[in-house]
Order: sequence, then C-alpha cells, then structure tokens
Amino acid sequence: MLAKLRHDLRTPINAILGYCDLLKEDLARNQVNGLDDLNRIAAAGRQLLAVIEAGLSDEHFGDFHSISSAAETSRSTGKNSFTAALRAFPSERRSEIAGRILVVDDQPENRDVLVKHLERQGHRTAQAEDGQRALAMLSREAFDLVLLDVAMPVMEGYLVLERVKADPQLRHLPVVMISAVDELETVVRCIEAGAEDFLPKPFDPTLLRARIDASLEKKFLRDQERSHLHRIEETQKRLANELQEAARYVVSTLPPPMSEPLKIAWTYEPSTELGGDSFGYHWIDENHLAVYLLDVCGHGVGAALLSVAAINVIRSAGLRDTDFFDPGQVLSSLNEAFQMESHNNMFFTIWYGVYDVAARSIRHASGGHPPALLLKSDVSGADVLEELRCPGMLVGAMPNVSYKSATSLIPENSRLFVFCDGAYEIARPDGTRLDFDTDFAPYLLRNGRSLNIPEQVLSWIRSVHGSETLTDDFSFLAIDFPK
Amino acid sequence: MNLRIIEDTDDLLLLELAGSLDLEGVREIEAAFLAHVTFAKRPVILDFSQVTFLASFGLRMLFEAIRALGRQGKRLAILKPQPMVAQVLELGGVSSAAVISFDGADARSKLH
Repeated sequence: MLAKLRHDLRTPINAILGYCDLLKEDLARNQVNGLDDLNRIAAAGRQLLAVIEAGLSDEHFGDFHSISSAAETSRSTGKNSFTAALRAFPSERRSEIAGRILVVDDQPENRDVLVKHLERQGHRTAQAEDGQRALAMLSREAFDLVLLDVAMPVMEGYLVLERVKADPQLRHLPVVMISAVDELETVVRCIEAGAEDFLPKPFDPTLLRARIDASLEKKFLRDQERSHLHRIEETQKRLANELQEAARYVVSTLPPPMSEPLKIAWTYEPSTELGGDSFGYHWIDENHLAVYLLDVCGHGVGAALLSVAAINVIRSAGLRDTDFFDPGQVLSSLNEAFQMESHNNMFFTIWYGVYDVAARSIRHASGGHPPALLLKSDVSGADVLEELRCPGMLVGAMPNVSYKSATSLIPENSRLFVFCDGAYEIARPDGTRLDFDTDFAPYLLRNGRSLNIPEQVLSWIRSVHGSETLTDDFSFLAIDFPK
Repeated sequence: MNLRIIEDTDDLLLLELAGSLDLEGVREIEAAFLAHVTFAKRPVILDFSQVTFLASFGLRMLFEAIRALGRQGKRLAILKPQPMVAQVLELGGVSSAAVISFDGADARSKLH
C-alpha cells in the first residue's frame, strides 16, 4: 500500500518534470526566457520526490509535514513567469536508429511526455492506455519496441510483459519497463521475466535515448540474424532438393539388370548423395556386349558430373576415330578427351571389356582400375578366380598415353565380377584394412556363386567396416555367362 | 599426415611423407607439398617408406606433381613404397610417369 501511495504521488510530479524538460527544449529553440524558472520547478519537483521517498519509506512513514512544505515550495515556484531571460539549451539529439515504439501507460500526461521525447528523437510512436489495449495493438501491428509502465490498473505491466514473452510471434520484441516504482525486487522480477531494460521515473532523456538505442540496435541485429538464418535454411533446402534430383538422375543413367542372354546383377551405393562411380553395358552389335565401370577420383557433384559425362560418351560411342570393339583404343581416346587439366584436376579409373558372344571371349583394358575377377571351374570342377588384368595409367592423368588390350576366354558356368576399389579398400574399426589378395578375392572365391552376390558383398564390407556408412562409393557388377 | 624436407640442394629436393594419403591426409599436406614441388626446378624424390596408405586423392596429388615437374623438364621419384602402396602405384600407372625405386642411390641416378 505504501508503494502504491508513493507511485500515485510520484506520477504527477514525474509528468511535471517531463514537461519541464520538453519546455526547456522549446525555450531554447525559440530563444524565449524562462529557463531559470523551469529549472527551479524541476528542482522543487525532484526535492519533493526525495521527500516522498524518505517520508513514505517503511522506516519513516508519515512525515507529512515534510511533504506538505515541499509541495508548497513547488506551487510558489510554478507561479513565476516563463518569460524570464535564459541561456541557450541544446535541443534533444535524434537517435541513430529510428523505430516504431508503442508507449503503454495509464496516465495520459506520461504518455504525452514520452511520445514527445521519442518523436523528437526520430521515432514513430503509438499509444495504449492499458495492457489489454496494448496486447490488442501488438497482435495487429508491427512494433520495434514497447515502453511499458509497470503499475497500471486493469492489467499490470508485469502481466503484459509475461504475455508478450509467452507469445512466439512477440517474444523477441524488446520491452523496456518504465515505472516510478523503483524497488529492486520489481526491477529484478521484470528483467527475469524478459524485459530488455528498466527505466525509472522521472526518466532522464539522455538515458531514455541510450536505453532505447541499445534495445533497438539489439533488436535490429536479431532481426537481421533471423533473416540471414531463414535465407540460409531456404538455400540449404533448395540445394538438398537439387542434390537429390541429381542423385536420381545419376541412378537413372545406370542400366537395368539384365537376364537374357547374359544375366547381369549390380549394386550401387554412393558414399555421399552423389558419387563418382558409374557403370554401364550395352550391345555394340548383336554379338558384342560392352561392359564398363569407371570411378572418378572424389565424390560429390563434380565427380558425378564427370562420371556421367564419360559414361554417356562411351554409351553413345561419342569418341571420334575410335574402335569401340578395341578397349585399348577406347581408353586412349577417353584419356585425350578427359585430361585432368581441363576437368578441374579430376581423373578416373576404368575397366572396359567387350564380350564376344560367339567366341566366348572378353577383350579388356584397364586404366588404373582394379582387375575384374572371373570365377570359373577348373578341370576338377573346383572354383578358381582369374584376374582379368591389363594395367594402364589412370585416365586423364597424363597426355599421349597408349593402352593395351588383353583377351580372356570365358568358360561355361563362369561369373565375372567388375567392381571399384571402394568394394575392398575398407578400413576396419581397429584401423587395419582389407587386403585385395588375402581377404577380398578369397571371399569372392568362397561366396561368388551366391544368388545375390553384389548385395552380399556390400553387406559383408559394411560389417567389416563396422558401419552402414562407407567412406567410398560402392559399385559391383556380377555377370553370368550362359552355357 | 606429415611432410618434411630432408634434403634441399640445387640438384635435388628430397621430401619425406609419413602417414595415410587418404582424403584427410592429402588435405593436410597438399598445399605445402605442391608449393615445394610446383616450382622446384630440380628433380624431386619422395621418401614413401612411412606412407601407410594411398588413395585416389593421393594419386591425384602425385600426378599434379609429376605434371608440374614435367613442365620444368624434371622428374619425380618415389622411394621405398610399402607393398600395399606399391600395388596402388602400379595399378595407377605411376611407374610409367615417375621413377619408383627401393634404393636411394638408384633413384638419384635415374633422375639425372
């Protein structure tokens, strides 16, 4: 009750002090006398405030003699003329950041003083006489800051503050509390509830400007940050969609599994959304099937673009003066067409083979690629693995490289495995690696006749690696040759 | 991945590489390595005795060095690669473009 009494007594005095400040500026601008009188009024007002504080304190309640004598002084001072001579007074400085500010106070004089100060500082303002109206205005219009009186009837400022901070649309709006109630407990309560700052009444115009400038600057920086974040999220979403579309395109370029006259099954698993592996097979003529698998150094968009470009060139026989029945020539032409200096320093490895159905033989060449493995039966009927190896340099690494071809017979009941190095360059959790000769080839020898060997190999290397996610692309073809 | 200058004379640059030349390893040393090699203007020997793994990114780095030295009329030698690394070098056709040797004196003589 004492606090309320102090508040009710202070409120009109604060309004007087506020008007004094405004009038001082007007006098200075119009060079009219009266500054001394205004200063005396302001001094008396501050004296009265001090007496109210001391007289109505919990320790010293009831010094009415002090209050009434101070009030008398103020009244007599106020009777003096405002036309006395005065010296110039600097006009109010404009704020560096202008904003739209909602002033909420049940006292019209308080609102008036604040609005005048704010508009002189360059801000646009609106007013609300109580908390409910303030909340209604905040829900309809955009503001940059709220100046909110603590003690108001109908809905006190603290409740308005709570509602604003609980609203997802409004919780970032800075709220500066203004009050004649200057108990520390009230200040702390408001700050903990999310108020940006607290200004005591009577407020100092310089402090008002400083606090508002600081709050607005913070708000504008936060707005910028949210805007940047939104743009980043939109860009990320768009990029992710485009990557997915690119990945779908790459998969669409892979040939469907074949069942007649050869059976071809494959598994393709890029290590990222877009891999650098690609492969294909197509009939060059009715008797010759070309089979090829290439692996661009790296992953991601660049590697995928190069691999698709190279595969399309092979599939469409798009290399000039090239005999596509001759794997060595194909690789030589590819090497000239895809020199790494012209392709963002990327090169690729490739295994290219041409199966002659009538001759039951495969002519093949390799550019830096692991050999294909042919699972066949020896004279005793036991399975053996033959490496189809004809080594050559990585494609695109150096100009003017010639590549040789080799020819291997394909016996009945044999199965050819064509794969990338990602199928066997696998690190175990303990840091050791699979070895091609002592781990990978023996695994294929033991399991190579399985129905779905490409998937089985992928599953096996994932278990060796200790993770579903591999660090390199996985491509594996299994080709069954008819009897 | 570590890169160290072992010998730096007018006639030869000898660099020692140690660690795994996978994507991460290449990223760690590529800029420094290519800075040494690109304008070396003399033969370069790479001591590969402590390189434990060589991936395609490592091959790319090597070929960039081979090409850069080739433009200067100089050659690259790779010294004492470990067996698994030697296999990768062989598979990639590096031996057609650079000297691969298991003896320092032999490597030097083949470069000059």
